[in-house]
Amino acid sequence: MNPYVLFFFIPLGWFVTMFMLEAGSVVMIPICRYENYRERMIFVVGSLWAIIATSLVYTVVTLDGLFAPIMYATGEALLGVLLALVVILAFHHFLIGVAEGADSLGRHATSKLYLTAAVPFVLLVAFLGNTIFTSVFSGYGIGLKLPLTTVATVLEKGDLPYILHTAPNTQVFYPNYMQMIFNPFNWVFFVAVVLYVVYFTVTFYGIKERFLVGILALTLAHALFLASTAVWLPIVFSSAVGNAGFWIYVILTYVLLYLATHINVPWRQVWIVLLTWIGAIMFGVFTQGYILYDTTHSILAPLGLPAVPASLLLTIQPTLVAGTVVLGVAAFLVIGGVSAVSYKLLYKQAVKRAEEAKTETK
Amino acid sequence: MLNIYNYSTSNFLVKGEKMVDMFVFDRVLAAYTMAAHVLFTYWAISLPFFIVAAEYLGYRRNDPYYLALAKRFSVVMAVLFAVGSAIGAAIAVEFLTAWYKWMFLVNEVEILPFELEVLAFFTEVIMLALYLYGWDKMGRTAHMILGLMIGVGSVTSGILITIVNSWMNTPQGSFDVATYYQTGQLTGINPIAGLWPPAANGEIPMMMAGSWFVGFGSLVGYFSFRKAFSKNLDTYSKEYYNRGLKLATYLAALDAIFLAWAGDHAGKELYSIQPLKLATLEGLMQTQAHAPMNIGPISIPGLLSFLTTWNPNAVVLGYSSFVKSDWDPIWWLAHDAYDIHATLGIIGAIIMWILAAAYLFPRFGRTFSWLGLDNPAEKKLPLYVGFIIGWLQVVAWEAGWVAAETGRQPFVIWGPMVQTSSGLYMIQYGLLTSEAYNPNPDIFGIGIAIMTAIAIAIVGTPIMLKRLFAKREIKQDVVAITTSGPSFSAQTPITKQTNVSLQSELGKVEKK
Repeated sequence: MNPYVLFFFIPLGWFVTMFMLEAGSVVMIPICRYENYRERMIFVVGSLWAIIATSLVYTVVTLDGLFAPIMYATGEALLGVLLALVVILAFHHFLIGVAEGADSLGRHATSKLYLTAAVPFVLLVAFLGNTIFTSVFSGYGIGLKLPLTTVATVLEKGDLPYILHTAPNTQVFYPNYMQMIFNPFNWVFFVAVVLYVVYFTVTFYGIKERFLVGILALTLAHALFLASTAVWLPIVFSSAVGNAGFWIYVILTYVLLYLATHINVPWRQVWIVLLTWIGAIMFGVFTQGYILYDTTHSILAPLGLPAVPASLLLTIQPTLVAGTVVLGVAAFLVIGGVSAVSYKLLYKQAVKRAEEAKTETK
Repeated sequence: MLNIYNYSTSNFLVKGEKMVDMFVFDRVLAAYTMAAHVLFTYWAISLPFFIVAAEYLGYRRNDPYYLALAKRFSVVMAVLFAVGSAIGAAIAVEFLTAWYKWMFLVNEVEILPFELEVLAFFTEVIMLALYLYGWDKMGRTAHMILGLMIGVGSVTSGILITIVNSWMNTPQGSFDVATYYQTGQLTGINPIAGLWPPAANGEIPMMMAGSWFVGFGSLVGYFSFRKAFSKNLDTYSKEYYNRGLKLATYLAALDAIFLAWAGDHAGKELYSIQPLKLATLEGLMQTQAHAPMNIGPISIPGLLSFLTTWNPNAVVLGYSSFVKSDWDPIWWLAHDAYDIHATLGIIGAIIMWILAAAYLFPRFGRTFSWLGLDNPAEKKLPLYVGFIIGWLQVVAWEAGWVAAETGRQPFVIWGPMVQTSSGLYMIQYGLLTSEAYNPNPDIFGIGIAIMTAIAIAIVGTPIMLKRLFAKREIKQDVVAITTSGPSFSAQTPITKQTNVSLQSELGKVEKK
């Protein structure tokens, strides 16, 4: 697998993990019955602003830097979903921000109201993000205006700049939003993601009272991930089931759930974040660097290719090499620096303040 | 909603009645989003320096008012940073969708500044978090260094983004533009050369000096407004606003020296590397020696030649020396915006120098006591002028941005200037704006939604700030710092006990 393609899954996996943490907490805050967990969820949501913003920016810039030609797909086929995502993301940020502000001013009822209002936006962001993810890998909803072999040849020869220069109105892709959104792969995969988020939240907070819910959610999530990829993304399915690492990963998810809920395992939060991040990167590895699989497999298989290799979409070499060095350094800052600050300062301070407030009340 | 769409003309009908041109709409969307984003950038670039200066003065003079300024404005900085970042994310997605062809070329050649900007942005985020939560957790010097690092991060971000803008004006060096223009082949790519395009020499100082000036100027506008229009200000609030006003005026006046040089230098740079853009901004139709400066109905002979070369008889190229297809179709907009930008900037600099001189040299102030300069923080006239001119710098900032962007038309990526066989000059451009936009009508509806969300964010930000400070009076913060030192938390709830000590401290200060 091309190392640059693999590299992209580092920020993507990180953003996905951080968003799962946020989504799980935001959805749970209004419905959680246990005050001690609910309080920690509020602290976590309050501590995530820096890390969510930076990991999103990092993912977008990495996409830009590594895959220049993919702009044609974003601009011609994914534009509707991407732009809608920005609007919903704005409302999501706004509502969570106001809830945080209200909470810091001691208006907890108002805070809960705004967090409840944020829930549908969080789910919509997750769904649209999932839709982009599944359509890029399966190809659903991304139509080609030109023959696939022509596009592949243009990309292989690096002739896209020439096309832009000589025929700027040439359209390569076109969107089919109905197919992009309402295909079964997208929905089954989304349900699997939601179930994984349930497991993630139970493990992250060590909610012993919901251990069985965690097991059920995790089992269903694994089953749906496997079933959906078996039917619609077989390259991922066959890579996963034939790989011992995947099965070790599956076992570890169960072990961690038990340890997190029954034994107060040290660094519980770190382990689940790490495991989820590795899982997301593993998904990338299992794609073997191929995209638009379902819609191009039948055309390209006779030519010896299972689907479109993402490496065809890489940026011109000198820019790519220089950029990757910078993006590598950025990875340390966003994954190390911002995470450390979010945890040590934002989260720990919030917990400390709450404990001080409790002591004062007593 | 969309009945008919024609890709070749990019026009489509909304409800069968009104024609919408996506070429215009995509530009309006980008301009609107960017205009909203730059509203927040000048604060991001200037506030850290204002806050650290206040913190330094607070410690040095043992003055709780300056420390209260630093603390309260650090909360403002955090809120503005969050909203500005969110609008920045909207711009990033618009680049990927509405301007994807332009973004494709940027990714292939000039993505390195954006990637480095990520490092600067992360530094800013980390330092901001450390600064906000580090008031009582570290030494004073270390804390102020953190504050300065936020400023370094935001300035570096600004520089790197402006470098991409400079590259759009002068991409020469980062790739072989002439070959691309002639054959469509991307060759000679040098990402390192793209880190300092020729236009950056003029643009970067202008961006830095301009954003500081607008930031400090708008602070002068804010404090002047509070002093001039707030009724029944208590002693604490008066002292607080006086210090803020004085500090912001000094910083603006100091930066105005840099700004004056940067503005002059940017004009000279344009003269030597982008004479067509200079002609657009100055509205110069004819190539001529002794070229005049045209500001509205006023024309001053020889001034343009003099300002761009120090020689009043120098020849300045006008539109008559360029092929007609390269003329900016909206040159009038660029020219008018530039006039507004320059005029307001110059007036603003002069006013800030006068106000700073009145604060610094009491004798100067007394000489002009009829203008209220003997006590500029209390007299109505200087406060009104400070309020109006201070906030007008925001208009100058936006106008400058409009001039820079519309003045680059019809190209989105410029190129080298060559002479044709007819003797006229032409630009071997990288990309025309008319080639770069996305004609897909799906952008229209969602674009309107984005514009609405941004409008809500802009209106909602001051409301949110007002609510944040609604229950936190200035005297409360000043007295808390006096009693507990700067270690008190901005989010500490006021308990009954602290309120009693607050009242007692207030009494002591009022007796003094």
